[in-house]
Amino acid sequence: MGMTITEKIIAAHSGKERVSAGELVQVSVDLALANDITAPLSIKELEKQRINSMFNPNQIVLVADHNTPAKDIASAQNLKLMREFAQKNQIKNFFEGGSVGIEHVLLPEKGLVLPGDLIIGADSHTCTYGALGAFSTGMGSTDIAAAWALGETWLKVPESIKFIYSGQPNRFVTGKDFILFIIGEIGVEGARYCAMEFTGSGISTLSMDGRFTMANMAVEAGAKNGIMEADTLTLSMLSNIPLSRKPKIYRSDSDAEWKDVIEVNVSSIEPQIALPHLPENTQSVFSLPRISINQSVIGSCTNGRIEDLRQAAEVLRNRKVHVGVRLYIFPGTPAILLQAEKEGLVQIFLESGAVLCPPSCGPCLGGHLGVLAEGERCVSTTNRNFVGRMGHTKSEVYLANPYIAASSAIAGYIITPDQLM
Amino acid sequence: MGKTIAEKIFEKKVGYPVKAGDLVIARIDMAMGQDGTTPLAIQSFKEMGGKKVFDPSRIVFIIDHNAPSQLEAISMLHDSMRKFAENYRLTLFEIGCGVCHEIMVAKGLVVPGDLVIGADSHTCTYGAIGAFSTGVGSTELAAAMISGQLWFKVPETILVHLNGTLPPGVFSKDVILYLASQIGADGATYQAIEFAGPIIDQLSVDERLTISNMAVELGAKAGIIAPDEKTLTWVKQRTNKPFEPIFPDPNAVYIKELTYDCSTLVPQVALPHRVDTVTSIGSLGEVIIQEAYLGTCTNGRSVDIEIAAKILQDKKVHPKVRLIVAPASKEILLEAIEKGWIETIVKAGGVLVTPGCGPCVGTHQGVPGDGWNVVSTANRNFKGRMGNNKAFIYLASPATVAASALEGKITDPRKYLR
Repeated sequence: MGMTITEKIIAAHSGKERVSAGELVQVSVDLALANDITAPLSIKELEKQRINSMFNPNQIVLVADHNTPAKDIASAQNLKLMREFAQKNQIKNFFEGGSVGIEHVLLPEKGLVLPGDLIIGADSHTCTYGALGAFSTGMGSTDIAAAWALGETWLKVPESIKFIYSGQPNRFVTGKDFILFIIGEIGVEGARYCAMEFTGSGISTLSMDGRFTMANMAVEAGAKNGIMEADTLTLSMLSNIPLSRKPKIYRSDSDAEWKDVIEVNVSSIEPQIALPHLPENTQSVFSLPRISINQSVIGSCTNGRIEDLRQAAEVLRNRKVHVGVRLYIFPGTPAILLQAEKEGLVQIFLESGAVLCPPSCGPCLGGHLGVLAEGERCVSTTNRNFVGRMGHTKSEVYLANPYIAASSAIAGYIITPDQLM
Repeated sequence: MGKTIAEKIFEKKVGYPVKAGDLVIARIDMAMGQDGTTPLAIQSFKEMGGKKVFDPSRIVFIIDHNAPSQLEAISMLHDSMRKFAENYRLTLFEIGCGVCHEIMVAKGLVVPGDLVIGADSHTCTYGAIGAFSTGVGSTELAAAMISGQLWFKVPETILVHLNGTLPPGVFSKDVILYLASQIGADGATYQAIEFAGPIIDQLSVDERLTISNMAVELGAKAGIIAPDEKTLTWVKQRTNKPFEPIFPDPNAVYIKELTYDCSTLVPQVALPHRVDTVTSIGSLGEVIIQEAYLGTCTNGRSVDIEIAAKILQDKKVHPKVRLIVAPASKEILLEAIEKGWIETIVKAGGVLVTPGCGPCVGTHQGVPGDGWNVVSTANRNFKGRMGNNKAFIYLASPATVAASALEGKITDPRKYLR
């Protein structure tokens, strides 16, 4: 019996010839990251256990991306705690201030996550790096603290579900729609503790940015990880980055065992929207009644990359944001901000009436920079639309791709670019 | 007997001769409210039984203090402003447009000779273009929105005459900080200040705005600069509104005339926690900083970002410093992008935040941690001003802030400007 990519990566990190789904294993980790919400808990846990030396400081990544620039004293104190921990332990991958980008956009950009890696992070969307052919998954702060100290963690090897995407996507259909569509099909628990392996010619049509968006949302179907085989596009992206280690490319065996195999022809997917209050409440935007909005957000670890900004700018060029709508745009990293500026995208945004915000998680989790008031509606390129996620428990969040978020900001209600007058 | 600019503006607004000390009820030309104060004004408006506003074209709301909103409660307050503005057809500048005091002058909403009130202490900024403008409370704003009038005591005026030429590396911020040290934080309480002399003549309108902005830090009701050719050109580029510039009479009577020579002035720094505790940068000693802030209604304009970018060009912000940059308006941000200043600042490691008040008032976007030292281009360094009463704020010019961000300690910018 063969193995899936996920099983192969886990086996390679557990020192075993082979592992199979359901097995409990001890694995070495290549990288364990935490952000400014979760790292302080990890650090305090280590202090509590009186653990002073880390297994390998180069395995540790700290990104202060959630409440940056510090929104209040508590946030500032958390940053201070992280900074002192980084200094004490000589952690060179500590990102704050002007070096901050959204962790899951920043790490691939910096060459810190590679195909074949096993990565854990104290953030649910750590699964993003699966787009590179890495096994990556979110864990709690104490798990991360233990991994920092020991260089390893334990896992149950997940069963794998294979998603075969075929066909050519329609106009304004992106990786976001691929993943929203599938979450709508299988539900938010449809892949619980499973590996979602995305494959097929439909995936090949996506850019790396589109693939990151897909892997990012695997957790929204309950998955342990989302993963794709690294291909020539992956390698060409990596060839432009100074890498910290050597990538290892794994492929699933033809006789690998799958819990399920699901086929999707992407040519039948229309631009998707996830209605409040679950990412599984998806439907085609075309069959949506008129839903007016107060706010639109373009950014996040799901859709804050350069391709996303280009898609938004394509719609916003020579148009004005509807009176009564606030459009917030958060580039994923400082490098993406600079690239967007170089391409004239930032100018398009500002001239359209959009608000440019610093590279950060911003309003995605309701922390700051665009919190929703009671009764307000927001269309957002982020990954979660739970009750109260972006502010008031009586506000509503609709998830969509950057084309839809931009065109809806213009129209004042949820619409696709081709429906704009 | 001659009259000061303040007296002449009030005279024009009430229609009869007035002198300092008179209590008058005057018609106002513009009333401004921001999101820190307007929700209270709206509440007072309702409590006073307000049914309509005196003139929708003379009331402006601006969302700049919490932009974008960091709390549900504040989002609700923003919505109350939006609803009120929509009901009464007022102009509302949304999140991202910029800081209220920059918008009011840059959009040509205030012109020379105007009498303007704003529910914000730094409303005195518009004195730089020859208006009498002053900060009021939220209830006064509510009353003015209903009646179009407000009562004032016509203030006495101090004439501050600034001689000489500013040396390189010394800016209008250094001048006003120096004046704060000389006059004191309550040295001009309920008085108007007229700033005049060769130094004022040499400064651009943008640089003069910095001086008038901080008049309130000397306790002043207004900080006025008589319009000159520069002012008139600047204003006409921004508005078609008719206006009548007001000049002081040659024999105007001032309560005090103060003269300073600025030719030997050096960069100034206000020490925590008072704006008038100011020292020359050379006698400061070593002050290690954790945060540097460039922006605000005092120093968030193009001229400020330009000088900072010049100092930061091809260099890196000190690894232990967070440099936060908030352009004062969207237009300034666009200009800063076009001129390459933003690229310079971001490459240097600065954080660009949304045009607005940023961390100046401690609501979000750069609240310091306990024990931090912050060097800031803002106008106030009171204890807790930036959100943490265990932090220490030093006020300085944009050049000093940029140089300090590079070195991780408060640094004389002049070595970077040779």
